[in-house]
Amino acid sequence: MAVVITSIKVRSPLGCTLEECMKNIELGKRCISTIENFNTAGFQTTAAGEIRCNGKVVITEPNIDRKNFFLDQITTELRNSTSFDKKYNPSEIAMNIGSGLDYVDIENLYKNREFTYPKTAHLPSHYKSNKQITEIAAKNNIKGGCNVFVAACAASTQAIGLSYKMVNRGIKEAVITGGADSMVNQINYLGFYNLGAMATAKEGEAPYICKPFDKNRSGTILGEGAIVMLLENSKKVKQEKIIAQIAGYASTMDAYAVTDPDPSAKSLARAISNALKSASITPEMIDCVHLHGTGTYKNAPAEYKALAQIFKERVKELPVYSLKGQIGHMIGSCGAMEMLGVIYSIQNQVVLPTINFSEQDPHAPLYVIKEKPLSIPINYILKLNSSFGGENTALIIKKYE
Amino acid sequence: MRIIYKKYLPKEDIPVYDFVRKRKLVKYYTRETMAAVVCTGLLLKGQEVSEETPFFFSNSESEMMDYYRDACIAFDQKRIPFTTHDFIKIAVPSISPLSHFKMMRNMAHCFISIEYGLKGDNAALLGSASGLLYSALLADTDKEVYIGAGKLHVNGTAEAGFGILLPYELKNHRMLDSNSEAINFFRQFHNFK
Repeated sequence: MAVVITSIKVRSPLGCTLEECMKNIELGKRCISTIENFNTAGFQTTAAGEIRCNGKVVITEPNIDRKNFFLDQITTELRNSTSFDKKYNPSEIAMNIGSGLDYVDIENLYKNREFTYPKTAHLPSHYKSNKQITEIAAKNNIKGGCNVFVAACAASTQAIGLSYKMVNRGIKEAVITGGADSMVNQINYLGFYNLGAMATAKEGEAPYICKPFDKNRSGTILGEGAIVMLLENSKKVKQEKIIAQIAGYASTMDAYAVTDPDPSAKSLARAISNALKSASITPEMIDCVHLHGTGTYKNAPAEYKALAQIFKERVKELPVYSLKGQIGHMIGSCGAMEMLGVIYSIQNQVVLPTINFSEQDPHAPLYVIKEKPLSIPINYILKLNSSFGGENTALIIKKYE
Repeated sequence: MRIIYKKYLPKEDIPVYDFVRKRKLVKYYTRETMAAVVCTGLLLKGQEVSEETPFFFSNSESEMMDYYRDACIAFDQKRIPFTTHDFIKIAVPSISPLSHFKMMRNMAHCFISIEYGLKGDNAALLGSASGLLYSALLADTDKEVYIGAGKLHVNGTAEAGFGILLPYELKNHRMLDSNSEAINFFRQFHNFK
């Protein structure tokens, strides 16, 4: 028995279908540009990866919480296309989703001095994430528990991790998992800017480029996106439906500082080690690593040190990749969205170039692919994510055979 | 299974300084985090804490508006018609940088982990008892796990709970598939005074 991904629905800067996303990943398309969904007058930075369909940014009204608006759409799409609630007893299906900060519609906040909008709305907690996601689960006949994960950048991979365990241990027949987040709104965007992690631009440079692993990286850029995937027991699905296998998972905590990763990277290394044990494989069996790769100064050396502790000398020739240069940092949904890059690698047996990477950082001498894809046999991929707050996750994804 | 639960009324002092070594971090705490730290301290008092112990924590929905109240007051003082642009320009800078940390949902989980050096299997959740209890049931250990939850009410009332248990103790628990708030587990099953 294996835990397998059998269907994916998505809204991202790459596109609104899996096919559109995969095509744009292959093209290395940069999906970050000047924000269109809200007025950025007076903002010092104005770039983000906004959700697009057929290349056009999807615009919504200010009273819409985008993360849950798109999550609602894709969960319904997933149900309609897979009939998961007819295939399984609804009480045997759970929903585990990574999410982020509450959305604040500032006009309503100012005029009504409360989150709820409007006061008489049917939904009593219009902008409250857990309430909304629980309602989306109920609407789609998911009755085996609805769980929202909020460990910032590790939220959606913690959600996938628990989902993997639930199916693997036979606790649930199927789990809808993934993440939905959007910090691309006035208050949350400014809040993130104030934390000092946003990319800056040097004179003469194209504005606000997220450069994972690059020597001259200056920070990250926010993105937004929603993605759900259906996890099932391989013995209960048609083999041709299987997209990939989740083979292992582990989470650890830095317990070091609120804002910075532990520079020793020992806890991140332990997450990798525990995930390898969970998948019953050795480090030599990992073919490439899809890193968190935020483009921030402190992230890359920590990821390098963690890999060096596990892979030793092989770290110099182990290909790594980050999708964030293309789509930005989706915080509560980043790990789940980056599974698209993992699946692309497995399906096409390539490690793609990390866009915007040009010069290796001597403090993080990772083997980052440049210019053209590297074709290699890929059976196992290690996927890492780490959060603001110190949570680390490691997933092992396997080509299903 | 040992479970503690505490409730602090709106103006009631939460004796958080009695339970923290890293006192500088307290300025980033919400009242929910303070209550959770007190519960953790009371239950772990005298107990040897292994850094490998898994720890899962579930917050509740935000009901407090304190983060934004200053922004609204700052804008009121200008006596000009509301526009989004003006609000961002005038009011948002008045939000304390500390508030950004208080808004983040994994902070209680993070601060308790730092305080006790907890580096094992973990998750930070929002809301449901189901997620918290399944995370503990399926933790990567057959030894003790720690679970906690908190809730901050709109009037400032803070609730928190903390538990030490073995994963198997949650098998077939009646709240495993419950979407009710995780704090309900501690309200109902606390057994430690």
